[in-house]
Amino acid sequence: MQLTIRSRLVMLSSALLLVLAATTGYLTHKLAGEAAATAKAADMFAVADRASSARIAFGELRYWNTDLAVSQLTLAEQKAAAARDRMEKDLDRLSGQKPERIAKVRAELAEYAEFAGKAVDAYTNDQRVIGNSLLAQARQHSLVLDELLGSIVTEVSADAITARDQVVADAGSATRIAYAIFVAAVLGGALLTFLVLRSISIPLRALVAAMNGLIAGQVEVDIPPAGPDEIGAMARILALFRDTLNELRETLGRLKAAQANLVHAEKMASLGQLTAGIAHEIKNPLNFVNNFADLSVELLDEVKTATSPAVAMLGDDERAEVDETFEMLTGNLEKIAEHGRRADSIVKSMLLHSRGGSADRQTADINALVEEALNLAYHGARAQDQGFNITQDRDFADDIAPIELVPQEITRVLLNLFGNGFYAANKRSHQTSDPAYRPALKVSTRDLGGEVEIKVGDNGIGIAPEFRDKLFTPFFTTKPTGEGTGLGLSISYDIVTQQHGGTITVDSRVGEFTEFTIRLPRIAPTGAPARGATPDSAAASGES
Amino acid sequence: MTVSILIVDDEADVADLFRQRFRREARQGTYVLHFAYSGEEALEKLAAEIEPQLIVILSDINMPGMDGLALLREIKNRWPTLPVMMVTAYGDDERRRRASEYGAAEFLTKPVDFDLLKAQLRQLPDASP
Repeated sequence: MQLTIRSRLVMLSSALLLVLAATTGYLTHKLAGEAAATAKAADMFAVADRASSARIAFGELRYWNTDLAVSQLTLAEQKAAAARDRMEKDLDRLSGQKPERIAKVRAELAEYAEFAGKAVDAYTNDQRVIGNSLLAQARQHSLVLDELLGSIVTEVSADAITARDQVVADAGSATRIAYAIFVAAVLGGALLTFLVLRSISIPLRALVAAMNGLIAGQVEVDIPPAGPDEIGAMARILALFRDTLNELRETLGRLKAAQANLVHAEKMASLGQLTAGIAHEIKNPLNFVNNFADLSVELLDEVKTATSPAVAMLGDDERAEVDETFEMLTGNLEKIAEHGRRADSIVKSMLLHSRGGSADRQTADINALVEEALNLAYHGARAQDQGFNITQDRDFADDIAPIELVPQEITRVLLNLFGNGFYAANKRSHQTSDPAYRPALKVSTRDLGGEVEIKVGDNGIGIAPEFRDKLFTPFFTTKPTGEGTGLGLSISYDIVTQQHGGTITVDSRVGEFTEFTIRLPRIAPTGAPARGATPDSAAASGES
Repeated sequence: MTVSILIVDDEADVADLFRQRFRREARQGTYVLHFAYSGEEALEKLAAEIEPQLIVILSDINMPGMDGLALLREIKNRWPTLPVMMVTAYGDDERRRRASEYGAAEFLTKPVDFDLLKAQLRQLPDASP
């Protein structure tokens, strides 16, 4: 249906009104015709009455004329004149209907009247024979006249009856036609109404179904095609609604993901701050421990030197005992110093979390940076373990546009990732019984336009799924005590996400591979928090 | 020549540490160590006494009450030629810049490298009046 609902309803009521008006007009017309026919039939009955009346009047005339001829009385003459008069009037009336026949009647009447008048005159003159003859002639005419009048009466009456029967028949057919029109109008109107309502209700129902679907949250709900009518307009708006809803839902999804990332980043950041804060607190007492341990070694040496002549004077057993005690003391102090230094290096790593935002961004060639870090890591690993070997697979994208970053920090991240990759691959080569296994590290770079991607993958032992969430948490490590601080990845996470506004993700399968993906945006977020500086700046504000 | 060193730090063990680290120099009479545990105490000691010999002040920055930088300004106000070395656990650029702006001779970060400190002390210009 191409018309608007309004036009459809207007057309429907127009059609119904039209049918009503036509029916009424037809019936009115029929009724008027019937009334005219009825009146005409009534007229014809009146004519028949006239004809009868004329016949009766002629009968009287004949009687009184005969009476007059015999009695010669004035009364008879008067009566005859009155009857003739009445008959003439009736004939006048009838002449409109049957002029020829009436003219004949008048002619006969004139003949009759003439003979009758002559007969009366003859009787008046006592010429009885002549009178009788004339009267007989008048009677001849009167018989013709009577017959004429009788036929006229019969004819007119028959006409009247025919007219009346016609009227009755016409009225019957008009009633049937009116009834048929009424039934047709009712049926047609009902059908039209049904069609119009259907043309509205079907798309409306589809629309309601679509709305209910949308409310129930079915995003891919079918919306009826948009026609040019009001429902079409509603369908268009609903489609717009659905699209907006879809967009909103997608945006919400992205927002939730971003929020989750943010929450995670925030958690990591506060852990980093906590770590740095703890490191600051531990640093001072540790300094004292280390300093006094160093001093004690020196002091013990001095005591040894100062007491050596006296000790030399002692007996062998006692001297050996004193020497042993000195050695043990020296050894203990050296152990204190050694472990103190170890603690110190951990504290220093922890403090890397509070690098602060002072490091300068520089334009760097990412491939050169990665290559340099890879060589550094490889030679570092070789220096620690002569037997160490690994296949290095480089897949660097050409023509990556230079990117702004803090080179030494990204190098630190890369060294951590390469170191971990070497460790995992090396460990697998020690564990595996597969003689074909060759440790390998694959490093690739890619330009994504707004971001630069670095992937570091190894075919080592992999990371168990339950560890993946904790991977970037400070102090989380799967390495044996003393081999890792658990700070490398947490610091890397800080550098990539906090300092550079990038992302670092991990994909791994136990016993197969681990792959880290770093993405660094070309344009670092302006609000990138220099969060590492927080403990310092808090202290600074306390001072000033 | 004896050089007086005034060490300002709110942590008492710093005194022991310096005494032991400088025990040979103290024995030889190269340095005389004085200690103050707050900026205020340092100013009192400076105003009241101490040898007219070259005085070097080693001050922590982060102290309750008058902090090291405030002490540095006050000292530079009253004894402009007195060499002052600042020591802090926080080696950030901002502190370094302010210390240098206020006229600190050196800026050391904790833990103090005593060999380096001794070398720097030897290089100080003879500021004796």
